[in-house]
Amino acid sequence: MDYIPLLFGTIEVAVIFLFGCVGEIFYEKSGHLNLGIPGIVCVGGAGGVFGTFLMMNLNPDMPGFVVLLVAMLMSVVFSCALGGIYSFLTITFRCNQNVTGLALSIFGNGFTSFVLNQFILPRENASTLLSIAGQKIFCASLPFAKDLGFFGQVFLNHGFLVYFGLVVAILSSILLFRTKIGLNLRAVGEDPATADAVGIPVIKYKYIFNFLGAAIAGFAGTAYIMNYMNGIIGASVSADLEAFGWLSVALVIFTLWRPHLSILGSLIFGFLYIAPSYASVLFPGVTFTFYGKELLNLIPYVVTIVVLIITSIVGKKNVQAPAALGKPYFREDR
Amino acid sequence: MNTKTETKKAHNPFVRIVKRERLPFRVRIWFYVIAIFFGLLVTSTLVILSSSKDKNYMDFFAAMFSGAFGSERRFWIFVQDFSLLLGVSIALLPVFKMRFWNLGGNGQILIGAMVATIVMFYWGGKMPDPVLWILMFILASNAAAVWAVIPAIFRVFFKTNESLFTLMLNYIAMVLVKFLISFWYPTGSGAMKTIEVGGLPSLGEGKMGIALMCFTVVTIITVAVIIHLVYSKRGYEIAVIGESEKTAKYIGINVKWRTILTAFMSGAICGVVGVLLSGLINHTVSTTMDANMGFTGIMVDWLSRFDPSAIAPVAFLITLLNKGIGQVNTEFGFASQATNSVITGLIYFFVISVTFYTRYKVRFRSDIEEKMKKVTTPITNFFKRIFSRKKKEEVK
Amino acid sequence: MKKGLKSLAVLAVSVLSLAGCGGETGLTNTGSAKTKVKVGLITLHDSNSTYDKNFIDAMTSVCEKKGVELIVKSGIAEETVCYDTAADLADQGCNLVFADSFGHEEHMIKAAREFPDVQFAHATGTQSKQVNLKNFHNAFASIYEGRYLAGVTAGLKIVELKKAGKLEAKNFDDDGNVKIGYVGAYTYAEVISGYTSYYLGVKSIIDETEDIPGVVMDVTFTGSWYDETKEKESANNLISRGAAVISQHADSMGAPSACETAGVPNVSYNGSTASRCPNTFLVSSKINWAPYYEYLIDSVANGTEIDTEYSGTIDTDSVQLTELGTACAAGTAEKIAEVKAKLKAGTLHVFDTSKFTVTKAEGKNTGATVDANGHLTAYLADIDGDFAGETNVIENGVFEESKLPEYRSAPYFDVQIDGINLLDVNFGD
Repeated sequence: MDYIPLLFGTIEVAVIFLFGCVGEIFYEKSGHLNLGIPGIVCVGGAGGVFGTFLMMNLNPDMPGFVVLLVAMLMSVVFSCALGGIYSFLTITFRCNQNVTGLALSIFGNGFTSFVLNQFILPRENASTLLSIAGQKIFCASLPFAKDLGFFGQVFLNHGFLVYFGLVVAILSSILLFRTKIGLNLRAVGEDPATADAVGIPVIKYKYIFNFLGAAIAGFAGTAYIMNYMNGIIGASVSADLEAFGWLSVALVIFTLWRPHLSILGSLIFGFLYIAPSYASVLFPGVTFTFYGKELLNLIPYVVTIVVLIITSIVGKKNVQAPAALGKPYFREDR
Repeated sequence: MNTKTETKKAHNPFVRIVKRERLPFRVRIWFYVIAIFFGLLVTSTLVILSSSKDKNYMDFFAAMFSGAFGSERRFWIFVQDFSLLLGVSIALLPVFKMRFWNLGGNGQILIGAMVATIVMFYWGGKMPDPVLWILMFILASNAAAVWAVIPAIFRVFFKTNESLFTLMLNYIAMVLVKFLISFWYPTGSGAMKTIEVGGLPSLGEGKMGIALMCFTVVTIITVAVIIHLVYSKRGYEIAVIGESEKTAKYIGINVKWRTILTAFMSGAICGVVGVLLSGLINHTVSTTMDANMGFTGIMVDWLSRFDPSAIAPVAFLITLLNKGIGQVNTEFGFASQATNSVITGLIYFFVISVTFYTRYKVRFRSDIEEKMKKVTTPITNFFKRIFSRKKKEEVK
Repeated sequence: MKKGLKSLAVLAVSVLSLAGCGGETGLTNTGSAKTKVKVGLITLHDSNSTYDKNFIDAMTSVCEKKGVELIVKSGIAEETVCYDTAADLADQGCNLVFADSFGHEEHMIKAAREFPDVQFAHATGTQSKQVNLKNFHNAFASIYEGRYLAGVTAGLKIVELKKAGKLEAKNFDDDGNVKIGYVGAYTYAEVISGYTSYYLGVKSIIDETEDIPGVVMDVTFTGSWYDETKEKESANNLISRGAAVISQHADSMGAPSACETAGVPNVSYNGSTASRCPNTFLVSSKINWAPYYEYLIDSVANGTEIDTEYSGTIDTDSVQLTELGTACAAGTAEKIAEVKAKLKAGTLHVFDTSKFTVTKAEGKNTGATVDANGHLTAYLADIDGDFAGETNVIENGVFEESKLPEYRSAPYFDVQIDGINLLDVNFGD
């Protein structure tokens, strides 16, 4: 039985969840519940597309790393711009985070669809250039990967963004749990008043890590469009981006606000998410009724709930959200 | 007020933010009106600029109203949709007040709609309709209530995160609906035909009858919930739990029981909305029937700052916005729904931004403020004189 | 109380309709003896969906050509909101309303009963003959012919690949048949008709080839008209199982992108993916709604009766193939023209019962009568849309699909023929 496409696909999809999840973890660790991650994932994707198109349009033979760099840069610009609105409204203006986030998601989806379908894709050659960039640059993998058997084809055959995502997750975990900055950030998220009293610049930390979260989450969009979909862009892609964004927000809780666990969590969820398409591989010889096969779609959500229940029963205090999550910090209150 | 900056001479910031005393309602309302006005101004400009058709501002605002009230049919559709949104918003209000983040409104609506459809499918025409209706309401609201109670139980006993739990249940509800439809119609196209029998009664003819029925049901529920929240002991308990669970336990409130019951009520009301959607309006079930009201209801609750008296007006305005934008979309020649989202999002941003000004005042450094006062005082005095003149006339 | 409410509503409406005086402007038909036509179009999603875009583009261009006003209502679900929208369009003075999705039908019928002076037309529907209303009509096209031609294109490509030695062992099954794959959405006649006609097109070419004994097709269903991830992974699965060519009946770029990455040729539907998948796009079939729309608008303008059922054909240009992709085998255009001519002349039929065999089993092909060689001699198709077959549609050894006036325009071919393997779903109970 050929499990390679299933496992390969798992990693490709998991990385999209991973970016969104790690991005939201930074938001939540700084005390901000950002329900606008779906919108940020969308515009980040739009930015990645924009950057890629910009470079490819200038010169279709542009060196790969230049295209990659500019695409990621534009992804950061777009996602930080939208994230900036959220941060400004919720940090400086102390507006309610949930409403701001929801508005962000609504806006981000529409804006991305607008940008892609009105400004980028209609341009001459745009979709072809993006498709070429996607396959040749973003999905460019180690040349010998395919020949290295099972391991090579499953693990070494991915594009740059996949490994970048893995590195980002690991570095984020180190930053959060092994550095002083991370400790300060966690303090800000748990009890900003005390953090302020100890001299941590609360507002500065919030802003910086909000933007970091936005940038990382934006890569989820770029990873979906340019890596997973190989730069082949359909008109309704913003709907898919938003859907992935919502699942990423859920995964934050699933993986207990720990980026290293997010790697595992995204892999498990990603596997279960695409498994129904591989029913013939996982259940060889079995044919389902059409409605029976539909029930396979339940599995990722049921498993998430089961894991959630288990971790809350078995876990200790450290499975909870940051204590000051969702509350605006007003210095004069203390 | 604030005296810290006066003692910290070394850190004298250029600008700082100061909390206001709670502004009177009639002042606050003006802030929101101005925000909505500016939001509409900006979005209408964007729409006019990017539209292929030759239209102006009058057309924009005319379309906004025409979409909601432009014909008798549209008026009743507006009443219907407003009632449904109000129902979901009021369902979520009590649980949000106790900081139980029920993100599962969509799923609870779907479960209610699904169970109502099951009742109609299997027993429609086989028993007298009134019996069917009672069965529908009881079974569907209980099923939807269970959908909210399960996360509540786990939160109460194991501190399980209810946001994630309810969110996952949304997805599960959608899959169950799809499963049901393909179970009943294995060779179907995924959409289910309407059920001819067993539909709920309406209070009149056509759309008006349906809208009035929705409005009546939801009004009864809304009034009951508001009375419950504001005047009853249980409502008081909910407020205390929301403030501080520790305090609630200390004064003897049974937090566990109250949480579970309130979640039950929340799910049940969403279920009733589902029954209306399925049994009264559509006579079928589909995965998009909730129209994302579970999340729009959250918006309504947060925008009205959990004030029960503000929920209905906010729900009214949001429904008006949705209907109006739909009409704008059609008239200005946009073939995609993207403009809906962009306009909605922008207007929300404006309204959200203004909540800052209603709660905080921007104060500048004292010397700058004195300079500014020289300019602004005559202007404010002018306005004060006008408004106080009006008051004198009213007294007469 | 009701009267009071009603008058309140009327008062509110009249006050606010002063604001609504902005109204809609548009080009008007200046013909004197003709009725001024105003068209309303109801679509399930919006122009971002390839399915709906097809309808929107066709209607927009026809209305522009005819100088007729058009109101497009997108994002209308297959629920009561469709009836509300259709009635609202009628309120606004539309005398022709069209809806594009299967589930819109009964709501359009309800509106048709209420507005007898407005013409309501609906794509893919099955009930127009049953309800027998003068102002309600169904329409579709013999898209199976388009799929067949697309299949021919795919078959030619397979032959080319075999000759160039580009096919591997995994592309053939144990009997040496070449494998192809299909990603479908739902298990009903429109999809089954689509993939069977496509398969028969491929088969017609493979059967003429000496070194390939036959072709088998794996079909998998996603359960959704649009789910990019599912469609892509399903296509990946089919490719890993050895499909030499993939086709699909779903709206996203999922399957085409899987094909482009894997270098597997792709036959698309409803639109060309050539710009995005230049290396693997072969061809796409689509229904061109413009001829039907012109017919509708002309009929309304002239006050002539509209047919209850309409099935566009290759002749009426309702069935089209997009431009051939650069990946197509040499000689494809000529062969397509040749086959097309035969279809037009009636010398070749897509569902020629002598060209495929059918196996009957428990719960499988219950409406079929087969002879000793496995060929269909009779088949009870579900024409009236009640999920049970009742009408025999085999005439002169041909399964007459989408045939008017005897049957109906929407597809009813749901026979499970040999050579098509349902990968992970069965149609039984």
